[in-house]
Amino acid sequence: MASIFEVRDTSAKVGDAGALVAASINKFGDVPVMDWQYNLMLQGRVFIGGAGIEATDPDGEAALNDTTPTYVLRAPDSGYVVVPLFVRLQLTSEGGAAPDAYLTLINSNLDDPIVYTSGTACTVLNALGGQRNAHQSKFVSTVTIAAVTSAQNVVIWQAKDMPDNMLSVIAVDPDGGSTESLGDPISTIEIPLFPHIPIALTKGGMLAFYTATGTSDSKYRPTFVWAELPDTIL
Amino acid sequence: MAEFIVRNTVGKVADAGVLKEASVNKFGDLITIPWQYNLLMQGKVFMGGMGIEATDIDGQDESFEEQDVEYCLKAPDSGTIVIPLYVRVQLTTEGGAAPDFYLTYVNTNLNTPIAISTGTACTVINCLGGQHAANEAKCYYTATSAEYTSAQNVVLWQNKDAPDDLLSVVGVDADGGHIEAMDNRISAKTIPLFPHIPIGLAKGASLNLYASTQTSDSKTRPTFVWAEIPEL
Repeated sequence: MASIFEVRDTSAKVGDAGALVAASINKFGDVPVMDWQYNLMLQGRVFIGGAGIEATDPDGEAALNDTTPTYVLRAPDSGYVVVPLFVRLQLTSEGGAAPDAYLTLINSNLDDPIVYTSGTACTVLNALGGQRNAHQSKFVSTVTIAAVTSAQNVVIWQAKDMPDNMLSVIAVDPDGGSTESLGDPISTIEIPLFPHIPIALTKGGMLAFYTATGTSDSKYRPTFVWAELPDTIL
Repeated sequence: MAEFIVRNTVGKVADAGVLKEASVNKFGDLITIPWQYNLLMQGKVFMGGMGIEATDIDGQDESFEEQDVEYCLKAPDSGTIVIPLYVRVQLTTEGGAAPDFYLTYVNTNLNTPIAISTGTACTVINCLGGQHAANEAKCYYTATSAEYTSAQNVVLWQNKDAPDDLLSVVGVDADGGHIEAMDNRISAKTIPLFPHIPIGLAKGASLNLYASTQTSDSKTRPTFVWAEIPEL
């Protein structure tokens, strides 16, 4: 019987789609595997959304309002499953006192999507580069959606009543012991959803970032990374 | 018949029960999907906690009692194994002096579950979205547990005698060297159980989260993420 594995010591094409082939093992007999998200990336199914280096960041909100998120990643109402992999948000402008920020998963669980009304499209790039698949999800700022109840969302992360001088004072005051380092900046939140928090946005499900800063607005700059699959996987 | 086939698109190859080749990429490398993401696509991963505008929950305002559970994730007594993947707790309101916080794994090892007699359901969302399977595990707040012994639980995380002014003073005092950053928050704890702490809650076992502050209550807000699989 022919082996179902073949020793290979280079990464070279062994066949086009549809070819029946032996799977690779290395010279030690180990099976190399490709991480799922990297395979999706090489198929042009991973996207990075956010703002360009010279873009103007949008104002946040003055008060928490479930209908006005600052940023939203939203799945289409049908046809696609959107898998968020990574979220990063950088405070770029301080606002008034005691700013709040939240990241929440919104899902009606009723095949009845929370209605999206309006928003401004953020820059979205295919993570493979070149002229690849266009993204099907919405990644937008300054958003208006229909009302969301407490039964339709769960907070993943929040920072309430943060200092209002993180950029102007705390980050530049070495005596405070809390300076703004490159590696671990105090004004940034990074949430690697993969692999700890498996989420799939379907049927209009959303990952929403809310801000609330009274008296004057805070501004944030996002980086969202996600994969898109056809919903035939379900 | 070959066992592997080169595929370079993601699309359904067959419905359940059909014998098909496994996928390799054009290099012949096996394509895998992480176990927890495969469960996600089957509608078996859930997130429980509080909505963005929900009212936060009072903790205990007395000495610590294991019966008074702020939040729990509890497996059914039979039929389902619950696999916690991620826990986060955020202090949202300071209480009195020397607050204590604990996350503990409760398991009798005796097929006799520790009963949780009361509690209020947290919001639980299927992480796949849409109309998918309902959760079997209980994700409760302000729950009452039967007594359990030191031999029936192991603390996974604790912060005892935490400062009582984490939000009002420590978090905003740059000179103290402990300001409330967005990341690595001093008023929140993130515990990514996966992949470091593999736990399977079965036969009524639970993860219990406590916030105990004397004189006046602290308030917290949790996020639990877990998978559910049929009992073996």
